[in-house]
Amino acid sequence: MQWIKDNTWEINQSKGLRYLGLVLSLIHIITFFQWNSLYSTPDTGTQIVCWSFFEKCKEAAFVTGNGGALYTYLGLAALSAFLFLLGPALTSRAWGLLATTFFLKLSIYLFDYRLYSNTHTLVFLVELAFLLVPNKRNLFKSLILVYFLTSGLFKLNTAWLTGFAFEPLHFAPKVNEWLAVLSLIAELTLPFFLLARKMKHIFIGVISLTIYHFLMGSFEGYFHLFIMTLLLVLFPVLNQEIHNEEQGYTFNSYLRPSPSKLWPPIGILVFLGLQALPFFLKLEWPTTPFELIRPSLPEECQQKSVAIYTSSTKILPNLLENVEQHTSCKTHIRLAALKDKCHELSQEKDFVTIYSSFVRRNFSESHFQTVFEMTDACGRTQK
Amino acid sequence: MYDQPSSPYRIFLIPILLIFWGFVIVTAFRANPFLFQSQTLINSITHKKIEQQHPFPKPDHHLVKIQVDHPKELPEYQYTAPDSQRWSRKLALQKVQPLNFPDLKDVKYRLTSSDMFFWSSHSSIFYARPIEIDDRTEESSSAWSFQFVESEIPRNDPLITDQFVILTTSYKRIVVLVRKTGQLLWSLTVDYDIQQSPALIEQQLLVSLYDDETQQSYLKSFDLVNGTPGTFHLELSGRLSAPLLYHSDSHSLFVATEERELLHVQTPSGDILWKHTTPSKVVTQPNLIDDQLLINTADQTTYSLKLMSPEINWDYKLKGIAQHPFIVIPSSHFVAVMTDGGYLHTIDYKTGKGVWRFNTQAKAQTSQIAAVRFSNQVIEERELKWHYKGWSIWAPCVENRICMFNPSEGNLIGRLSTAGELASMPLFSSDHKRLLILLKNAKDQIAKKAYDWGLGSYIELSQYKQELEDAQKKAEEEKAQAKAAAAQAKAAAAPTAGGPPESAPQSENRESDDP
Repeated sequence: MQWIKDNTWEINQSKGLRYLGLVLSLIHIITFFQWNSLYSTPDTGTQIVCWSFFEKCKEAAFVTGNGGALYTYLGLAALSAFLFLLGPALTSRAWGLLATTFFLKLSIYLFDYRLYSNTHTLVFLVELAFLLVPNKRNLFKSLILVYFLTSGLFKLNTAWLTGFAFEPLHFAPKVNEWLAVLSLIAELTLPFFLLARKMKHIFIGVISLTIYHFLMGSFEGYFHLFIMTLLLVLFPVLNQEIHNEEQGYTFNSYLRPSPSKLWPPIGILVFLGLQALPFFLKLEWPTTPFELIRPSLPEECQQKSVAIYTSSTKILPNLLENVEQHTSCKTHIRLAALKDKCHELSQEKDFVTIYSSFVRRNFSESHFQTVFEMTDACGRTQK
Repeated sequence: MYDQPSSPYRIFLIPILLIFWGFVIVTAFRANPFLFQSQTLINSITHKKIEQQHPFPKPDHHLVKIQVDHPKELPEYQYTAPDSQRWSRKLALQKVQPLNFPDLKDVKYRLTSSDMFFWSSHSSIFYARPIEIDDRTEESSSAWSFQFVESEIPRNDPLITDQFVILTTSYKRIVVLVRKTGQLLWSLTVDYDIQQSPALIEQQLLVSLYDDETQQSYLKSFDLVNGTPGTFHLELSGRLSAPLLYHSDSHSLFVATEERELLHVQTPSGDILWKHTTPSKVVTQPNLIDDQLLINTADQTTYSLKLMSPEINWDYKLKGIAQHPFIVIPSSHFVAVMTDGGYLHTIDYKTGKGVWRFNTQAKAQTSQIAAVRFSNQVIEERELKWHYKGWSIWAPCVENRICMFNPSEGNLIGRLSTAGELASMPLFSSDHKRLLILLKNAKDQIAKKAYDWGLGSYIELSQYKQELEDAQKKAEEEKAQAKAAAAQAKAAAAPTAGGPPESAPQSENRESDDP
């Protein structure tokens, strides 16, 4: 309890942190509109895809019902934003509402793998740090910095440097390759401007990164641009506040001592540890929802499924029509879709089982590799 | 304004930054060594793949292992004709055996000696039903159906071999099924539209594809058993206008395009032996008879070309456009074809001269014709020439009729009435004791506008009308005894199927003999 009080006290003392709370609440509101459009579309709304660590998500899914969870989420986020606007007197209540909103968002997020994106990963970590970790201003700056650096380093591979991501722009392939290099350089250099002490440098960093996200918006998505702009705009505010405090720093309270300077490095280590987790566990990413998506060459995959009835066979259409490319070639998602289909077809007369095979190849491979082949995917053949 | 304190760690900053950027640059150039070259990385890593793939992806080998045991669901079927019955022209309807076929619009069919395959361009299901026209001891196949992906429909006629059924679909897919069970052997999605039916070159499946953008046709071979791409590859301009014809003796292929080009292609090398520009596009699959190639073109003409060089032997003007390839009348030099106006033509393929022509006034769905051999007794009865060994031409004529023609004279030697509109030519059992015809069903006749064609029944025909009538009468009497008086009256008033034997109206329908 004391930990929470210390955190709310820290937020209460800083105008910049209250702005951060307001921005995080606004991000929740924007997130609501993004998710609501997904769940209100008849084709995509009910086609939930489970995370690999939560295979029974559909049995417990509450998002696809009457939308109550989403509207509750919107209501909490709006109220939280309103309380942050009202000033320091209601900060602890705003904190409570924001924390509730955070956990509600996380619950929704864990029920549907389709919501997975770098933007949400960053926002989750920033919000968690804002709610529970001391030295919030420096931690926020560190997290944003390390996010850009990690994202840039993840781009330091053949997949990204082919320039494949820029193909929709219809430039020459060599131009695409250099755009890929420039984007990498941008992500590895521009964020350092955000840490500068001079306001001019900070503005250069904020504006250049906003322009960068705007240019990358065609494939990163404009949702990402919007969220990043909201977060980047806080840098001048927070920096000015730190600058002012440093100039007038005379009193150090023993009752509430300054938060330890170790928290930002700890935050960075936690962030990097989460990104490195799949390397240590040697698992297919993402093992947790807090990992950044790594650029990869588009994989080509095919799943052929045939429903077998007692006197006929029937080719099943693509089981994952409305799932994005970067997720649709995941094995566990294919298996989950197959399981759902088995359940659906089991109601039909004369249905025996499903034969299914799944093959995949990456961009440079000429042949498909069989990932799985199941002659009795439903495990109910009667002989 | 603000006095920036000097950091003790600044001394480490420059080496750290240098190491970091050194790492970035080295890694970037290892990931893409072509940054400063005209070659691009994307091309270098896909080069091999493109070479192997272009223009077709590798087929789905993984679909080979499906094992499906279909229970036998044979349709109810009985045949009661005594074996002593013999074939003659006096054919009559013996039995109509309705089958529970699905209602299909624009149904197409293929009859073989043991199976009936049917499909429609409005349905994504391909059906197979066994038929038992023959008293053969070998194991009969069972009924099966194969459903494509929703809204995917069969395109072109299927290629049916002893073991496999090869289908092509609107989703640019080749589907190979096991003929007896309908199980999927393999399927392959190709890059372009599949035009015309596939052809079989020994164990290779030859598929013709058409790229709308470049307006090019591709002929490509695949292994029949596992779908592996073969070595044969040929590019042509324009669509193919007629199904491919493969000549196994010379290992060559005849290809006709919409650009009026007829090509003779060596297999499997793909070398073009000769190319001939026809006056109009070829409309039916060519016929190869005694080292000459017969082609029917859209300008209502038949041309005979030499096999080894594209020289024209003769040409013959038809009355209408041929609908099917020629049928060859054995024991003669005659070939016959039916045109879209219902004209039946018989040509002497040695000389290129017309033997006779007849307006059948056919109103049937099918314009297929068949060569059928009569028994010696019929040759005697109908004064056919022994020289031609009893061969006759059967063709649909007038309405609900099959007419039988003497191939040398063109006179009508018999006529067969059917209970409904013809949908197929007869299929004979090996001993010629039975035959099977597909008819348009009653539902279609009532609702012609709603359904163009449908298979609702198949009928069996047997010879002795009198016997049949007797049998029917007997059955009706038995029925009448068992049922009420009203039912008796109804049964007695029912028309006898088949009707009396009709005299051959050869003079009234015969238009002219040519020459």
